[in-house]
Amino acid sequence: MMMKNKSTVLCLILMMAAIVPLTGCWDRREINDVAFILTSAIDMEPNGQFRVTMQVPLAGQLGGPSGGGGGTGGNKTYYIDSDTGRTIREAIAKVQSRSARRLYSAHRRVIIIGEELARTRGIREIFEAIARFPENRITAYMIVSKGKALDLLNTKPSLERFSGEAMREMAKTEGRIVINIKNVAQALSTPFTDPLLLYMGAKNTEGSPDKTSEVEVLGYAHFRQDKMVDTFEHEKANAINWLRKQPHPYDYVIPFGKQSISLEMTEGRTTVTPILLNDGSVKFRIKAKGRIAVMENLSGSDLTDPNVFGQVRKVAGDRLRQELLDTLHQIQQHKTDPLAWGGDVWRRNPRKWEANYRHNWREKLSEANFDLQVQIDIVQIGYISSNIAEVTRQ
Amino acid sequence: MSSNDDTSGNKTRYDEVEFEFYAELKSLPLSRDLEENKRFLTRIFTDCSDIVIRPFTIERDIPALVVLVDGLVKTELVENALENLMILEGQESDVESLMSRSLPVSQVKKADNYAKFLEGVLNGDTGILLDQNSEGLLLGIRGPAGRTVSEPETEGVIRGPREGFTENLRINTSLIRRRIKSPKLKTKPFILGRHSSTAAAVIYIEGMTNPGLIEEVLGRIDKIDVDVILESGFLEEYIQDSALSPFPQMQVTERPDTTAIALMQGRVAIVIDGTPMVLLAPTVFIHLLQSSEDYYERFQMGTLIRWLRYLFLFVSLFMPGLYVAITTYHAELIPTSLLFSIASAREHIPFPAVVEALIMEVIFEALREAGIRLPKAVGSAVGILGAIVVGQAAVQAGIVSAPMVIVVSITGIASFTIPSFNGAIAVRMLRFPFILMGAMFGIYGMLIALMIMVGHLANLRSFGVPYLSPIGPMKPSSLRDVVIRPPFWAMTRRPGYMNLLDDVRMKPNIKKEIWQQRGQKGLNIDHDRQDRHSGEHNDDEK
Repeated sequence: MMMKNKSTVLCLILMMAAIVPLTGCWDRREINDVAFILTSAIDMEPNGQFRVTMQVPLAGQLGGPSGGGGGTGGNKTYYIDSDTGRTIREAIAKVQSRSARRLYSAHRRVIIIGEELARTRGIREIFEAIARFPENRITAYMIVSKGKALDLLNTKPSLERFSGEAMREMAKTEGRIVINIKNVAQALSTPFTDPLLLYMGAKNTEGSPDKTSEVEVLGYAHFRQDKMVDTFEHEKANAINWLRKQPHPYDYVIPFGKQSISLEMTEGRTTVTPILLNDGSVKFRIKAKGRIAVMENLSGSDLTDPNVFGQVRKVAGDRLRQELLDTLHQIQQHKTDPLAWGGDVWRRNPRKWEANYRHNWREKLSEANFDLQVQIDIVQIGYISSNIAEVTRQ
Repeated sequence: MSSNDDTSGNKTRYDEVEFEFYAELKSLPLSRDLEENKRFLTRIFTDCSDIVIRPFTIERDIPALVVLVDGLVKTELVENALENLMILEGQESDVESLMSRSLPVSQVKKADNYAKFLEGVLNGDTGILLDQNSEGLLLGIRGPAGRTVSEPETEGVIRGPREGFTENLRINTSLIRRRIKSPKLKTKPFILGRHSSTAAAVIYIEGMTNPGLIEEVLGRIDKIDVDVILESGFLEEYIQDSALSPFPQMQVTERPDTTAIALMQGRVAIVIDGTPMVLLAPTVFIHLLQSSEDYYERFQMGTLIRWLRYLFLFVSLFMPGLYVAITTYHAELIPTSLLFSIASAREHIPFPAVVEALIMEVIFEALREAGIRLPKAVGSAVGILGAIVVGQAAVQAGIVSAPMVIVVSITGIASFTIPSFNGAIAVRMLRFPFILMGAMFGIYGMLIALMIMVGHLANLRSFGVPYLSPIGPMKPSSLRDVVIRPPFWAMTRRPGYMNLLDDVRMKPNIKKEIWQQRGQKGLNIDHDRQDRHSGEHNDDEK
């Protein structure tokens, strides 16, 4: 009896001990044996293959008071390597075969997609390689580069250590709804909405003999399903922010009087209300309310004069209305829905959506009318009413 | 038995007795013949230079004998007593009358056998034997107390009494009695150790403490038959519930106020002569994380400090293990920029993280041990050496990474936030299994280790009280004193998990008043009295 008890206990202990190694995935990996991919760039080669470029920080060069010297060479804090393949994974494997450390993508925070790839082959295939394994984090930002993604990755921003880091910082400030892999995949997975990706380009600095190449936010890439069709740049990029219901401050100049006035849009609020008309078409009532501040007044007009004040308001409002209309026009022209307004309609009236809109939403949206109500308030004209250096009349 | 047989029997037994102390002496009565006693005493105390056996005569012709241990008695008072006997008083030949008339000593006991007599003498009493008396006298004039009451070194407080226990049992009991002046405070004496015959006392509050508990404590102590008990640690190992557990099941304190609080919670204190460390039982895990000072400062601060301790308990237990686990298994959990800092610091380190952690932890333990063991004057030198060699040089030489030094230092600091030293010891020991489990199986391994540890804790009992109460078997009423430090006016009852006879701490009327008015308001005091002299004077000036 006693023996039996003892062997039962022993058996139990052995079984419990076996649970521990039985999970079967012993993945011990010292930090020193891992190369962290910080940013990937995916391009299309002329022969149709993928070119995958990755930026890997050199741990020894990352600073820390005593970390310097030895090992990895030069003053560069990262290295960039690239290869081609029929699949993305193949290209990565080729790079892996010539690197001493395991390439580890769990800390990849930015994926850049070349414009050519986005325009011709589409971005849908990329998600296959990304989402199949949990090592790739799907909260990484997704960016479309102007020109080759490779070139954008090779910029050397002065204020950040890595170009990928600069892109991430910029993507983070660009609007509160982040555009990461997950959001893009979600937009792609519904047939009637389209993704909206940030569009960035390389730009050389001006005014200094040592030119550096910096990353510049150009606006948004305009997609129809997984293929890029156009871009929203400059004013249209701001208009997209308005239409995404999260305008963030931007500066713009309006011609006024003799010269022009520089204004800053300090904050704004948009509401978009879909109105389902009886004839089966849809109309959108867009209310945009903005508050602007006068930053520079070269017009010579006195802003304290209510007449002038009202005119500035009107010019600023008209300008915003025109920008919004242009942008909406571009959206309609390509029969796209990057702002996911189909979802708004569906939420408003699911039954009507199913009956009238779902099957030909792209057509419906491209024929939709807009009721734009723009209201601009000048909340600040600054501390001076006229230039303090101006000769005052006695 | 005839008296003749008796003496002859005794005679042989006096000669036969081997010095296996009390057990055998217990049945050995004092002889009526003084010479007999003297012979016996000189024989058993052969080669004992500190024992004084001095025959003298009480005025005129009554032979007597004084037996004492030099250094344990207060010499002047003994001389005073002898003076009384030899010169001032006359003709007392009887112990009883001597006791009641001639001896100006407050504490006098009688002893009729050798066990009792020698016990007294060896504990510092002055023994007096009279011819033709079968009883001896023990004068309780014990001598220099040794160390005076001083501030406890292991349990410092900012606010609170500065008294700590000493090595003297009587001083210690007096320190407790001074705080609880109640006849219900019982100090049940007992003697431990065949050779050391250490005096000790079990202290409790009658009518509050669970009688079963007292019985259990006394019963467990009673079973011990051992040659020597020098420290409460000796006793603790004999009477604790789980002898193999790394966790202490009894609290050790050298603070009388802590002891008094424990007694008022219905716990039992065991005071042992020769050590300032008092055992408190039953002890639950939470007691090890509480300090008496929690109750002396404002309750908000007490609460925050407690939270801090809970946090740092986990830090000191898990931090090195977590660091190893996360850096070697879960690199994706570290924020990217932090990861790069760690990666750059680790770049040239020749060891895997776990080896590094073990090296640093072992060195830290060695430094700590050296710091305690070394003479105080050298101790600071070791501290500097340790800090410079380990902290600075090792990092610069690229043997240990700076983040690891930080982790180990924080862990070290964290382990000092646990108020009770024996509680901190358990955490110190268990840190190593956690590092190993973290190194082998990552966070998964640490969780397994944690589950085993919590399972073990839940299985422990201290004198029948579950070790994790009031959390383990949950007692919501007592849980409040764990999560926060409640204000005194809100604590109406004593801890529920102690199973007390009487758990009312406070009458609830004042709680109501304070709660409703947010304090006791002095609204009846008139601060604007018109007839105040100074006030009138000031008004005139204006």
